[in-house]
Amino acid sequence: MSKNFSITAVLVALLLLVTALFGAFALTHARVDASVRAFYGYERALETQIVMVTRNRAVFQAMVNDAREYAKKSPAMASLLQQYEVSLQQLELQNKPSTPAAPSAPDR
Amino acid sequence: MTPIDPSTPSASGSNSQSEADFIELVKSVRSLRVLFNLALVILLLFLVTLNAFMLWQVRATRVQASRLTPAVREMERVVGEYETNSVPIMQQFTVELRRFAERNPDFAPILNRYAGAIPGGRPTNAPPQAPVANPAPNK
Repeated sequence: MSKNFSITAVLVALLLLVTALFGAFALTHARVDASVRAFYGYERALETQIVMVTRNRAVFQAMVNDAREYAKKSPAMASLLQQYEVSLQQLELQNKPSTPAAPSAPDR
Repeated sequence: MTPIDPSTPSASGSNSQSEADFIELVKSVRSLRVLFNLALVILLLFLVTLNAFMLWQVRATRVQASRLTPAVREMERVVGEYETNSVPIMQQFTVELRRFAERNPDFAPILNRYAGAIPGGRPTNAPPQAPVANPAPNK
């Protein structure tokens, strides 16, 4: 009789313990899920910025190319370009390495 | 319950009847207890499985985020480099070209093609704020 009761008591105690663990895991899961969502939001915002950066660099490079074309018939523009030649070359070098293709967020 | 006198003949039959009932009751209680314990075990197993699943989910989510972290760091680097190195040069050069176009009106149409494309201010919006708790590093 007492053996039966002790088994039941042990089972009930185990059940309480596992239920408490479940609560703790549920809280952890909710916390991790929230921070991962914030992380994905940040990643998407960065992707948007990368698109803007790439677009701005391309537009600026086109403008520089037009200015170089114009410099062929304008010595004043040629001297202006001469002043910025080092900086513009640096910019061109920065434009050359392709920006990383950000992996899309996995299905969640 | 009223006590039954065993000396009376009818009481003997009733006594054996109540004894049979009592045995039946004990059997019922025993089987109910077994059933109750079984239900507890099943519930316990279910909760343990659920816990294991949640633990697995948390780990999988963290692994996914950690796989994404290098790409995010690289994007941060590219945007940061652009903001600190490229933007000042681009703005300065654009201002110089605008001044040049004021002095040389024939260059103005060429520059006007890019009007608005390279804004006077920062070419991108402010960089996004990194999430406070990055789940990726702590596994």
